[in-house]
Amino acid sequence: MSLSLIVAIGFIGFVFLITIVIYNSLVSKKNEVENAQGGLDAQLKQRYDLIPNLVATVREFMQHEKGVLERIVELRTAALKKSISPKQKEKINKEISTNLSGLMVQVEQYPDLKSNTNFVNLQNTLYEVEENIAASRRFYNSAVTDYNNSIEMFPSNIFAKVFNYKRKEVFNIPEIERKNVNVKSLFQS
Amino acid sequence: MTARRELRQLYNKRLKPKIRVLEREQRKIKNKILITFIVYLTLNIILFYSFSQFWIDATDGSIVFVAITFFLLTFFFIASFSFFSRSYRKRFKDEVVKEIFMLFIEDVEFIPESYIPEMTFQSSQLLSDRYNRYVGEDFVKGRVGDIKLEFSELRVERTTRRGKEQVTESVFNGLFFKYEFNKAISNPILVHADKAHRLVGKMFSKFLQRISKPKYSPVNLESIEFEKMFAVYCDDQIQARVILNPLTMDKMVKFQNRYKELIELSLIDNCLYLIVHTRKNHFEPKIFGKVVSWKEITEIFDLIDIVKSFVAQLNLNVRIRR
Repeated sequence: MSLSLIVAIGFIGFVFLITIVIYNSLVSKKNEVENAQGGLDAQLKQRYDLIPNLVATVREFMQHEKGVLERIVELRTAALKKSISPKQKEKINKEISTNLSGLMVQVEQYPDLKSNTNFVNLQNTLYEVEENIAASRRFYNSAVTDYNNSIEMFPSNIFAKVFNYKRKEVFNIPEIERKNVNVKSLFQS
Repeated sequence: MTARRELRQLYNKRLKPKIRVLEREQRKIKNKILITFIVYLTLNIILFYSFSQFWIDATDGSIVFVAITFFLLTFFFIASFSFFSRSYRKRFKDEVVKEIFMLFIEDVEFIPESYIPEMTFQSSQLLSDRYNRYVGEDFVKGRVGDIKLEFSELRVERTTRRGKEQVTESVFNGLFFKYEFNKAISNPILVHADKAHRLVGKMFSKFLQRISKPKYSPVNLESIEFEKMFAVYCDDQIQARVILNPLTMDKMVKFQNRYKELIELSLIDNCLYLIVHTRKNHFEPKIFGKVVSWKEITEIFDLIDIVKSFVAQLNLNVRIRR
């Protein structure tokens, strides 16, 4: 076998090996993103499961917050529909978070509710779930960033184009929530 | 009252009189060492003078005798330092150091001759290097609120043979803390000092991270400053991020920046283990110079206070859940 043939075979083998490594890396990162998404969905499901119990406990004490409670139940029902898109689901979950945190603030005006054992346990569980949701979103963003870096950086971007890997979006908050909170206005309202 | 003001009050009211008593004892020790040194010098002069008179007729045996005598005299002279200062060191630890610990640790037990058990050290999974010597001192046990606390100085070494020479390498030299909470986490979290990042930069350190700890998965966190200093490992990516949230990462970065010695920690079951690579012998009085200065007292205080504040800020009793 001539030297040039050996070199050619070696070069082809090397390129083949690199192809395998890069392709597998892209697959691994895509799966990591799906894994992160699955983890987040599991945490969100835990929150949805808490809501009926929370609403039932709170309803008898917080007669004036009936509107908020009904809205939370509506949002929960909407979130559980299989037909909604990921973007709609994200929007609904953000609204659930906002309504729940607003509700927890209103609880301060109901001392009987605050001392209710069932409510205290539910509240602690809800805080835990919210922390887990925040951590899951951070993990998701980390996985997506890693994936996006791979599909945009050379030489893996070549393979990403060939195998039609598309950029994914990270979780972010609306522009209005990025502004500093005016605490004074909150007390005045 | 701030902790520093409490320390200043303690120092002025209780520690200063005790330090004065220790200074008198220090003077006695220095006198004893001086006398011992004079005796040592005199004996060596006699030894070498005698040898110089008779060296022409000296045999191999007499040379060996002189050498052994010299080393024995030197050994006893050095050992006399430790012998004379034993009760002085014990009094310093019992009367000064223990008082400082009592400022922020409840139910303090201070056993200067004891140290963290080796099994506890191994349970922390913080150091995987082989070692064949495990010693320590200044064991402290107590409570900080609900949290049980133990710590001590440790020296972990490895002796290897390089050719004909025996070489001793330090594996760990510093302080080891163990905090026991009333809740446990399901997956161990290890936070190591990212020495690789400091040496070879981000790209290669991530690669080294993946291959160095195959037992656990690396966790890449968002804080750039934190990632430069620490390498995190945990099989549960979400749990790691619940514990190491942005506020905690910020506290750890500030802690590391303030206290230049490397820190590493692990969370396993219901315990937090924290090591500080100080390479210093802590909690010791001086034989020459001031027994202990205000600056040295604040160093002891700051070290324990920083670790205690840091652990309190982790708020693990609230945040660890089953």
